[in-house]
Amino acid sequence: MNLLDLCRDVTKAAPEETEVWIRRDRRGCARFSLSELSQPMDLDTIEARVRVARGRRVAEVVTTDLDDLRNAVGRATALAKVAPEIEGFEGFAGADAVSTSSRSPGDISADARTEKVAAIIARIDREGFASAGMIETETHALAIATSRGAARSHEDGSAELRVWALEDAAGRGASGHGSHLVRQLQELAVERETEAAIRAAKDGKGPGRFESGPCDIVMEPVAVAELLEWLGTIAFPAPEVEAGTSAMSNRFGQSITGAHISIRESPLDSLADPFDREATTRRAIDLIRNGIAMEPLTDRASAQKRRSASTGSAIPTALFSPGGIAGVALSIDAGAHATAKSSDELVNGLDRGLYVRRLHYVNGFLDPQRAMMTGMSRDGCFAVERGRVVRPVKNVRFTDSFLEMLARSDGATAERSLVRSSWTTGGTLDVPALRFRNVLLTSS
Amino acid sequence: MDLREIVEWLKPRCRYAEVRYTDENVETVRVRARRDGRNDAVSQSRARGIGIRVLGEKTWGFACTPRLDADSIEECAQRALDLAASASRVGKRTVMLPERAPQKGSYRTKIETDPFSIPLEERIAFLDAPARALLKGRIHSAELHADASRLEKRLVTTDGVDVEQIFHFGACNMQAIAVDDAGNTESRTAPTWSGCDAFQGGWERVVALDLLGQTEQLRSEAEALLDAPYCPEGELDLILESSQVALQVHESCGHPTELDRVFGTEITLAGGSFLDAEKRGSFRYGSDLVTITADSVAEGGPGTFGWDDEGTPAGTHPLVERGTFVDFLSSRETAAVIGRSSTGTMRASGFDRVPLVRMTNVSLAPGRGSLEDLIADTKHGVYMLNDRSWSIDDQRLDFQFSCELGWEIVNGKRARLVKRPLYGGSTPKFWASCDAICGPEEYRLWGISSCGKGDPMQLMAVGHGAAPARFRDVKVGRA
Repeated sequence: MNLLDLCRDVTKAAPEETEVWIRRDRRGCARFSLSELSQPMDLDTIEARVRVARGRRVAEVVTTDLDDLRNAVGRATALAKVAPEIEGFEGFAGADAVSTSSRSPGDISADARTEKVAAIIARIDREGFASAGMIETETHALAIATSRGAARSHEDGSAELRVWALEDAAGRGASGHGSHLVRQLQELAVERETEAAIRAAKDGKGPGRFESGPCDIVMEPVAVAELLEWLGTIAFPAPEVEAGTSAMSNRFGQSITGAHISIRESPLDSLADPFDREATTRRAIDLIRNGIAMEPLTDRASAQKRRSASTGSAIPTALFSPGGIAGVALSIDAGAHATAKSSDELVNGLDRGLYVRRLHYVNGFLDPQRAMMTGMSRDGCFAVERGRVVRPVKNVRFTDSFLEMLARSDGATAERSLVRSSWTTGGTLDVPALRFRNVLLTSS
Repeated sequence: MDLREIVEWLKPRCRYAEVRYTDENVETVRVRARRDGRNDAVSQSRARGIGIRVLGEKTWGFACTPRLDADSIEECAQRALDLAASASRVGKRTVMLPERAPQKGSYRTKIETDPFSIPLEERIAFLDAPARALLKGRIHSAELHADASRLEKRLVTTDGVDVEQIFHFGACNMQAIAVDDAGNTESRTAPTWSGCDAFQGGWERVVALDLLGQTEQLRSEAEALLDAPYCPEGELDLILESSQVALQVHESCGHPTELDRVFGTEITLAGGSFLDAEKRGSFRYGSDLVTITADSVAEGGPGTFGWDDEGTPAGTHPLVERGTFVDFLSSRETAAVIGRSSTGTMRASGFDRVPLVRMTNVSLAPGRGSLEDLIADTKHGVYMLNDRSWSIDDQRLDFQFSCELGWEIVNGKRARLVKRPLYGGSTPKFWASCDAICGPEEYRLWGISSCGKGDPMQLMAVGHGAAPARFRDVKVGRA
C-alpha cells in the first residue's frame, strides 16, 4: 500500500478529527576522511505523526512502525482528552489540500557514490593534501491525509557534495572547502568543487595574524548562509515574534535593515517539498522587503491568531524549532547591489579587509532582538589589500548584528548559491556572496 | 527474529559485526504561557529499529531499518555488507580491532518513580503552577518543559557481546521572559539554561528541582535585569557558576579530547582538535587544580551506562590530571591506533545512526570551599550564571560565551547585578588561569541534552559535573 492510501485509510477509520503524516527517507552517505571512505551508510527510516483533535485540544503521537498506526491513533485520542488547548487551532487542513507529485532522484546507488568519492580522494592525494567530506544521495516519500479530506503526497530526492582538502588531516593546517547541492547525483560539480577546495588549501598555507577591530569583509555564500539560517531561527517564526525576542517584534512596517535588502521565503525556487507539515501549500513570502519587516512565518494556528493565512511553514518539531515553524527556502536579495560577477569582483572593492570562505559555530543567541551573532572563520581566511588577496591569515572571530551588517553591505554577487540547511530537513538557503563594511572582529 | 540469528548469519560474511536494537519511548509536556494566552503542547513518540555495522575486508558499512521482520533485517544486513565491500574496494588502509573478552549482562537506570506512571494531567499541572506564578509584573511569558524517555537497547556482536540495557532519561526546565515598556527583553532560566537540564533518573529528579519554589527569585531577577547596567569590560577575574563551568568543560575539554576529532574523521561537521597523540602525557592543559575525568558509572548522569554501543564496559578514565593531559575519549578502533584500549565512549543517537566517540560524563573534580568563600576572596571581578550563547572554533581553542546575568564583585562582595555578560579566551591559557574550584558541597552533575556531532547530525545527552570556579584576568564584556 502506498503511503497516501495508508494515511487515508487510517484517518477514515479514526473516531475523532485526525491527521496522519508519514515520511519515508532513504539516505545514502559516502562519508570520507583521512583520504579513506570511512563511513559508508545506508539509512532507511520512517516517521509517522498522528495528530488527533478534540476541539482545540490536540495531541501528537509519533511512531516509526507503520503497523502501529491504528494504535497510535488510539493513543493520540486518549492524549487529546487531557491535552491543553492550542490557541488559534481551528482544525486540520480540508479538502482543498489535495495533490500528488513526484520528481526523479536519479542514480542513488552506493557504487555511484563510491566511484565519485574515490576520484576526489585520488585527486586531492596527488596534491599532497588529506581529504574529507561526504557525498549524500537522498530520496523521500511524503504523504498526509486528514479526516477533513486533505490528501497530499510527494516524492523527491537530492544529492550533495561537501569536500575538504587539508594540509593536516585533523584540520590543524590550511584547509579548503567546496560544496554543491543539486537534485540528482549526476549533476554534482565534483571536479569544480574539488579544485576549489584544493586551491583554497594551497593559498591558505602559512597564515599570519590579523588585528581585531572593525573590518571590511567579503563572505562567500556558504558563510552568508550560516548567518541567514540563524536569522531565520531567531527572527522569522511567529512564536519568536510573539515572545518579543525577535528583531521583528513590534516592528512590522518599520525598517530593520538596509533598504537594499530583501529576505524571502522562496520555496518555489528551491528543493523544498510543495507543501508543509500541515498540508498547506508552500508559497513565496516577503519577510523583509527593502529593509522593512513585513510578516512572520506561520503555521495554521499562529496564522489564525494573526487573522492571516498560514505561510506554509509548519515543520515537524526539530532542533531549535520547538514551535514547529521554520523557513525551508530562505533567500537574500541585495537588490541593486547584486551586480558583481564573482566574489573576486567584490574583493576588488576592498581597500583593506578580509575574504572569508566559510564560518564555524555561529551563535545568534547573544541578543536576538538585534540579531547579534558571533562565529569564527574556517577553511580559508585571507587578508585583502588594495583590492587583492595578499596573504592567508589565521581564523578570526566576529561579533556583530547581522541585520546591521546587512545594512552596511554594499556589494553582492548577481548569482546566488543554494546551500543545505543544517537544521531543517530538506531546507535550503539561497544566498549571494556579500561585501560587508565595518564588521567587528573580536578574536581573543 | 532473535538478534543472535542475524549475527550468526553475518559471522562468516565479514570480519566483525554488531547488531543493535533500540526502542525509545518519549513523552514531552511543554507549557507556554503568555499574558495574552497559552500555547501548550503534549506529544508522545516511539522510535524503534535495528542498526547493523559490519567490518568488511578493509573497512566499515552501516545500514539500518525500522522494520523488524526477519526478511527486512536480513536485507538490512546485506546492505551493510554491500557498503563495506564497495568501500573496501577503494580503501588503502585496513581497520584493525583488538581482541577482547566476551561481555554479557544487563544494566538498568535506578529510578524511584517512573514518569510514565504519572498521569499526564498531573505532569501538566506540575508545570502549570510555576507558569502562573511567574506571570506577574513585567514577566510577559513563561515556558516550561518536562521530557521523559525510556530507552531499551540490546547489542549483540560476532565477538561475544550480548548485553541489554534499559535507560530512563529526563529533562526539565523553566524560563521567564521579562519585557519593558520599550519592548526590550531579558530572560532567566532554572535550574539552568535550557539545554543543560538533562539527567538519567525518574520523576523524583523533576520534583527535586522545586520549580515552584524558585519562581519568585527567577521573576525578580528577570525584571531587575531590564534595568541593570551592562557588564563592565576589561580583563577581570571571572567566577563561573557550576552549569557554566560544565559547558566550558564540554566545549573546551570534552570535544578536543575526542580521538576521532583528533584524527580528523569529524571534519565534515564538528571539526578537529588542537590536541594530537604526541601531547598525551606531557601537554599542560591547565593549572594544577584542573583534573578532568570521563566517568560512565556516575549515578544519574546522562552519559552513564553499562556498556557503550560497541560493547566496551563502563568505567572511569582520567583525561586531565592536575593540569596535565593524560588520555583521550576513544573507541576500539581509534584507541588501537595509538596503542591503547578504548575508554568506552562509542554511542549512537538511535538505531538509525552509526556509533561515534561521545562524551560520557566528563567532569571537573571539585576543590575546596564554598561559592561565598570564593566571592569573598575576589577583589574585582564578575560572577556569571546560566549560559546564553556559545561559540568555539573548529580546533576548540578560541571561545566566546555569554550568560543570562552577572554580578560585579568589588572587594569580596556582590556589588551590582549586570546584564548581558560575555567572556572569551583561548583554551589552555584559560584553564591555566584557573586558581580556585569550589568544594564537593557546590558540585553538581549537569546534563547537556543536545550535543551535536556526526554527519548526518546526531544529538546526544552527555553529563558534566562541576563546581563554581575562578579564572584570573579573563577578557569580559557585554553582548
